[in-house]
Amino acid sequence: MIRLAEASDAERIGLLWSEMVAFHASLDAQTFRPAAAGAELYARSILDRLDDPQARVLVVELDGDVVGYVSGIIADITTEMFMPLRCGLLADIYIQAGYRRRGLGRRLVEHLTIWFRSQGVDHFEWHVSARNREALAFWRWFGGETTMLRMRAKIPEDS
Amino acid sequence: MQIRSALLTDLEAGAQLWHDRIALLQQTDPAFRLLPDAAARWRAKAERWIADDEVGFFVATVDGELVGQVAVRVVAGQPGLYPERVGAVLEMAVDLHRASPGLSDGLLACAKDWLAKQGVRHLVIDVPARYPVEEAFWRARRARARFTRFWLET
Repeated sequence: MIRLAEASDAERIGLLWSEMVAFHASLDAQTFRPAAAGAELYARSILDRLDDPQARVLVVELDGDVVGYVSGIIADITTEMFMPLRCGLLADIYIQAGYRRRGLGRRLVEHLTIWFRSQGVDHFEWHVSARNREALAFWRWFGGETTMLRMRAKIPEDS
Repeated sequence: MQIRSALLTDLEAGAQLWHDRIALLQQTDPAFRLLPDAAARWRAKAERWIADDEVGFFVATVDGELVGQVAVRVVAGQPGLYPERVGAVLEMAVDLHRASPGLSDGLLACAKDWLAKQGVRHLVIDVPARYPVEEAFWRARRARARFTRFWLET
């Protein structure tokens, strides 16, 4: 069952987020290093989104357990020099290992897309780890078009 | 070549540099749709950068003429992940008609020095996916792709 997240789900979503970060850390340990109390911080950010009319958090519940979630927000991501573009942002999506390849992730995205559309948003964007080849292939299959690369450089200690 | 902090008197020429870069990007990606008064809006935004202690804004000049600019801001990292603060590149443009040796690297060094003084050790750049020249520039400066941004119609 896909439903709106509730405050009582926040802690569980924080744990799922930790799993997601651990998975990504196995691909790219430099980018995905959880801060101390990262799961609690993330759970708090989810709680903030529950009361935000410009945000939506959905969970997948199977046999009473939350096994996946997606969070999205609506924002104008352009700077003031460009045509205003009210856009959906898919912030995070995760399905617990063992529940994948059942179409749950796709259904979460479809539900979020319906909400975006109902809010008058005609497109949405999201970031995928540049090293997560499986996810990159999935999103391209899903129809996603690449717009930007987010790159990071370390500033040497002697700067 | 001289590199220094940006002044209000630099913004007219700075807006032209910014506009030239975006005009190039528009040829590769129609998502960049400028408003008719985009340059004036950029100037207003850049004016706020000059007044903002959280932004480092530097320009390069040759014989008194502006040939490049860079602006970086200290921003929060992703919630729950290190690093907790990163330096985001807000603007970087050089005069493509007046290539000066070391221009881009000089600007970048200034931005990095400024960020290091704020205690920030990572620089984050959003590079247009359809403009490989900029990606190659950043890769040569040891930047690595961390995320790919996608979009999809609803």
